[in-house]
Amino acid sequence: MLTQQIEAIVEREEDIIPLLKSLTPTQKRELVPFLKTLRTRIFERYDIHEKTKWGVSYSSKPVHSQAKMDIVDKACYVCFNKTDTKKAFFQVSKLSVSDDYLENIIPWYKPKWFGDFINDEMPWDLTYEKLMDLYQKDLFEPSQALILARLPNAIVESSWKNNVNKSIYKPEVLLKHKDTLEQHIWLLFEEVSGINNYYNYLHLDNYKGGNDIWIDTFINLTETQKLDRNRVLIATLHTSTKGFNKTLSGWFFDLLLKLNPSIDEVLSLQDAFFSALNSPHSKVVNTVLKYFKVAASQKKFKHTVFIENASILLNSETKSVVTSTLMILDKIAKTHKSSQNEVCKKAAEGLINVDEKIQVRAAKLIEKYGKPKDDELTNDIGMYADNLFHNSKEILKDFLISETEHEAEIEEPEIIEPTDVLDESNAIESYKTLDELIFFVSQAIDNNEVYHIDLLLNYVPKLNVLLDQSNVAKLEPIFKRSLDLALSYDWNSQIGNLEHEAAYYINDFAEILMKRFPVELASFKKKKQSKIQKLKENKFYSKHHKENLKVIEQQSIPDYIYQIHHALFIQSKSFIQKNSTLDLLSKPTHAPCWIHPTTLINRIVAFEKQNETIMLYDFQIAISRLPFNFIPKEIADQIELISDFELKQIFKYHFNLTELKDVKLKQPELWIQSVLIKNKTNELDYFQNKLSTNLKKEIGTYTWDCKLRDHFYLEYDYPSKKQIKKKIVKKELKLHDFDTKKKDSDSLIDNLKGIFKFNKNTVKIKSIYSFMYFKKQKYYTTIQPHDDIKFLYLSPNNPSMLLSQVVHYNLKESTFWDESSKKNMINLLKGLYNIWNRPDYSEGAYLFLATGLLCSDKISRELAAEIWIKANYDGTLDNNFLGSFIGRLEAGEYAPLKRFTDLLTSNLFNISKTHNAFLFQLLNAAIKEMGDTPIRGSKKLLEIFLELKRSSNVSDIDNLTKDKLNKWHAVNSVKPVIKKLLDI
Amino acid sequence: MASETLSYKYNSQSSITSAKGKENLLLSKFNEVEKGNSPCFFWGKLNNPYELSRCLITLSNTVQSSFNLSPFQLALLKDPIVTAGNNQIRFEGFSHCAGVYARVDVLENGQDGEFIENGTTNVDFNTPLISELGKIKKNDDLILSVGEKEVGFHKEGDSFIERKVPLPSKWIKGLTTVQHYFSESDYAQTLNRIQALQLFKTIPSGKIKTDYFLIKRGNKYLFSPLKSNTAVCIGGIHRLKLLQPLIPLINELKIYPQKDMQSVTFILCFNNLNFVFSISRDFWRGFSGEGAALESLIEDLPENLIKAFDNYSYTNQNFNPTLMSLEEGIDVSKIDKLATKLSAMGLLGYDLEKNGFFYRRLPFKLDRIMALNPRLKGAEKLLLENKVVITLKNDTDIEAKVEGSGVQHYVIIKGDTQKCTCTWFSKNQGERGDCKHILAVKKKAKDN
Repeated sequence: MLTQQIEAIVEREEDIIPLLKSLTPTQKRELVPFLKTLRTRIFERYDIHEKTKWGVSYSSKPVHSQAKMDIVDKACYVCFNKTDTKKAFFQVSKLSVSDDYLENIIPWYKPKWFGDFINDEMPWDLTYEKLMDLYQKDLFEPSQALILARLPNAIVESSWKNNVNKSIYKPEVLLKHKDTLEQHIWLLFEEVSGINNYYNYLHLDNYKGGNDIWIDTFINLTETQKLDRNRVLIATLHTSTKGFNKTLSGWFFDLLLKLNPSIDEVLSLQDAFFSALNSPHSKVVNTVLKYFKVAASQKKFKHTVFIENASILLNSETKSVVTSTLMILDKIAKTHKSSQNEVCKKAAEGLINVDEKIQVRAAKLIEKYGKPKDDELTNDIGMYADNLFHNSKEILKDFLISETEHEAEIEEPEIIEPTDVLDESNAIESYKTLDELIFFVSQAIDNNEVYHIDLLLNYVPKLNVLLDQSNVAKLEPIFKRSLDLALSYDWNSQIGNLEHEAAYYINDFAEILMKRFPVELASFKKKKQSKIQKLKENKFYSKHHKENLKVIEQQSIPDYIYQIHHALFIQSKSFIQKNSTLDLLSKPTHAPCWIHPTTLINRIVAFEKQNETIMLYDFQIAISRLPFNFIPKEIADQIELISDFELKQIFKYHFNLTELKDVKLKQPELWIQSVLIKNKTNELDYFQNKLSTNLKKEIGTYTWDCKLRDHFYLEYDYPSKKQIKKKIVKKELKLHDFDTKKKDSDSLIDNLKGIFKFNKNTVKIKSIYSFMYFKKQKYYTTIQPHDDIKFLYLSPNNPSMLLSQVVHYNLKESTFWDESSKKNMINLLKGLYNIWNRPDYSEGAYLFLATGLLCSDKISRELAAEIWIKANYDGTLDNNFLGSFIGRLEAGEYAPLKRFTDLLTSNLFNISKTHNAFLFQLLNAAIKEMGDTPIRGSKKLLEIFLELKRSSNVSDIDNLTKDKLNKWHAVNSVKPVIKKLLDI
Repeated sequence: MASETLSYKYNSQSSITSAKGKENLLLSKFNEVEKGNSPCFFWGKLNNPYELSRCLITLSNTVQSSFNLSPFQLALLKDPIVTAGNNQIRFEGFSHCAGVYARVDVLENGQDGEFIENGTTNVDFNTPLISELGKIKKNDDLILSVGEKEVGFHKEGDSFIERKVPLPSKWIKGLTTVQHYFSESDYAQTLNRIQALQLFKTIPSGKIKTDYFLIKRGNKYLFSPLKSNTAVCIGGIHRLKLLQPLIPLINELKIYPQKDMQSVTFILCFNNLNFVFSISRDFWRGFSGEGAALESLIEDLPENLIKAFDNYSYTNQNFNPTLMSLEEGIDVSKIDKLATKLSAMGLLGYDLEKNGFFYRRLPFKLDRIMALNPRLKGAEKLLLENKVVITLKNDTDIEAKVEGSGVQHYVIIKGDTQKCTCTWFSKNQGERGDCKHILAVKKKAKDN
């Protein structure tokens, strides 16, 4: 009966309230299922497809009138429980804001859950004023969270008039209800709210304060004594301990600054001020210290408490905090003579700072108030002796008497890594048994080690010959993973594109085996087919799957450079097909990429014995992976085992058993790596002349400079309604003769034909370098992170070619604009650290390292610094060369000099005495190359240079550097330090 | 995962009140498994009020921090747990992401008071309390009471604070795993205060995704982004910034890396007070997700043993299985890695400095803890569904086929090495605990 009645009311759009009023609780419960169905029906929508000039537009419209829906809504509210209401009501605000409900329903029906419901849902249009009205009418009690969410908006009223949104400042709202100022406003000091970020952007007709509107409101409320100023001050200070974020905390301390407590207030509220010192935000701490600076000279100031807290402050990362603390300590020492000793001991903790100005300030404080005979104090200072700058030492000389003997004793660093590249500790484990091979292959696509792809190419052919009907099914999980990876669209940050390529390769292996073992791998085959079928049915991915299931020979590659590995994969697949178990020549024996010479010769001999063609790239990579300058004693005998005459000659040349000019270069491709690796100018010239081929790109040497360059772009000009050309000046590094065109290479098939079919008359040299392009798109590099390092390890003895590409494409400016370039930089520096083992790398490597030391990424700078430290420890770095590059880059202001001087003080200075001497050399060379007027930050650079000169008395400044310093001498800011440097 | 709810009921708010020149710190407690009768665990004086209060603030900052969650999930649980007994008081907690574990150990001479009852409990840490802690000075008299000594001590004695939070399963899992990692960690270095300060100044700013390594150069220690096989590895190094305010106050800093570098622990030593701080392998990996202790759980412990153990032990007491078996008449010699098992059940904690387990029963119901390990549950499901076939078994070797999603995984166990062809194992190579397939094979092999 009831249901029909309701349906009729809805149909006729009549008033349902009298009926709802008459319902008993039981009736209401019984009506719920019916109402749910009714609701679904009345709220139904139909689709509209409209043709527009832009195409088909899809939308929907309700089937029934708004009035009908409103009636059903009312019935639902009266009958439903909380959960159902929540599900049913799209606009919860109806219940708390709509006059219809508030006047006609809520007065007679307000379920128990009403208040909770509003508090949970926080309807967006329930303003503070409205919720207070409901509260006044005793309809509900707002939760703290709701008050916190709405109160910040309360003082501005917005409304739409004539299509314009008008906002007016209405602080009187706060005075309307007693609770607002007595309770609610204080919640803002207790919990996180949005009070700090609402009103800065609002245009208010009746408010021209220009400041933060809430701060002004608080000031007005305290000035008119509507809020107790003292309470506001304490509450503001205590916000520092509530775990607020930086901006919110900052806002409250802006309020404090605006409240501007007097000195008496600061003294009477000291405890609250002190507790704010625990804040993690420097603005808070700085603000407190600002007031303490004034209060510190007052007798009432709790100076002992401040001294207690000073340790933490003196170790702050924010310089101004440390400086202010030292100033306050100074004032305390002046006012309270009895505390001078304590003050000095605390000030000594400031000596740990690597900022010279701060250190000197602390030193001066100690000098002013300390007693040089106080053992405790001199001991404390002694602990920092290693760390002191020359100036601080001068100031503290009376306190450092006992320390002079071991002054500047910097311990020599321990060896960080074994320097022998063929050490037993980095020998790569080899796998032989079926189980070992299975478990290796199953992790090869996870990029667990940088050399796993290299190993995979060798181990799959070996696994292939061990398989039979009884064990082949064990490979199913590997095949499944490879298939999933090959067909996946998900980005995996742990792997690169080469792992995808490996998956294609394993897929091919699976196909080969499925033909050989159709019964044993039947279940996998079925699964593969069903997966493919599913993809075929997916209209978005059907093309994608076709591409990714192609055999490896037909797979496309993301960029040119991938061609090298691509060829190796194909070579390895051919081994599988002919059941060969030969090791590829380029398989590393030692991490990360080195090959033991004896092993390489043995592999060549094995190739010859089996009459197997050596692939050119494989051979070139292998030669480049021979550790430079490592010559086994018995090498001459071993070379004799090789049959091919030219190969034999190459090894003899490589291991210094013969001269280049004494041999006949029949196939220059085979020689090129050795010639490049040995990097002797006369041999390189001979090689290039002989073949009339320029190897500039392969060597990685370009003419370059760094200076301001004009760039033009188009910008739309609104007044003239035209695109106009605008100029922008960039500080840019440019490799002038950089060849951006890739060389025409022979087809891959030609390369695979092998080296013995080479045409003698040509001087065009095929090499892996023909493919080395480190391409850059607008927002990413075409080389995926993780692959970059593998490319670097293709020619670890001649990294300059690849690295100069990176410099050209990624490091024109010292700032990275995209994540992948930054990741590439980090990976390549990590890789370079592992292989840097000689001082005579050509320019590309040094330029890359120099840009690494100056670039905008801190991790990259630190990594570059680590290379510098290790290489100088091993004596494998030319500091003059690197220094001159840094100087040339900074002459064009490639990067802010401060970046470099910060790195000097934090990472490069005082590593050891030897390192300091090298650092002196580096700066000497750098300054020589810099411009004739000192750039910003030069003073700090010169101060470090002076510090280095003083720490190693023998270091003489180069004449050309002296000339440069004499030129700089005219500039006032650097004059004093140059005077000291030149002893004038 | 459908979340269970845990209700906290504190009789009053934790607070600090000043009376007669003394600062009284009351920590209101709640434990869903009450043992013992006294409402108060400890009452007495703390000897290093300044350092202790800073440690507690840092602990509070740790439990409020999150390195991988959205702010929505942040506001849920902020209360650490306290263990009192055997003359020691320990406060421990986790960050929300369960990747950072912090514990304040008040050692034997760090307090001067009475241990009225032994036990572990949740305590209320609220913002006014933290704010008050910040005001504690060096020479203040700080009296701590864990639980109320006298009922009605507080004006609001009748009222209570109730907080309903989703069961902090990450916490519980993490708390058990971290003890296991501790037991596998070895002492590496001690740094003096100056070295520690210098070291902490080398933490790079911002959220760091690259691993950092602790290296020594000359007599200085520093963090470097360069991988070195011998150096302690620290992932998500920015998490160490939580410690920065404490470093200027320490006597020394000790460092304990886990053997596979899956976690690293820093112990900040003050006078009779230690702050133990452990971080997981990476900021996006909580201790909770690691399965290091799973293996020890595949064998069920006899219920009477757990009961006996619970009866026999008292809080913070060193764990000595031999003594226990003697006194309780239970033969434990046949159970491998008993301590690991008990710690995985939340019954033991590990003290790195003393190099041993101590009794500490987590204030959560045992069945909650046991129900939390998904890989263990996965292994049990595999066995239930009969998906494990052992193909070879002799004294040293086991080979098995385990049905995975659509494929048969191949598992071998040879002496200490175990391998599986599944994705989890291939990626982690056993460093993050066994996969469910290996666990299932082990359990089946044991049961047979």
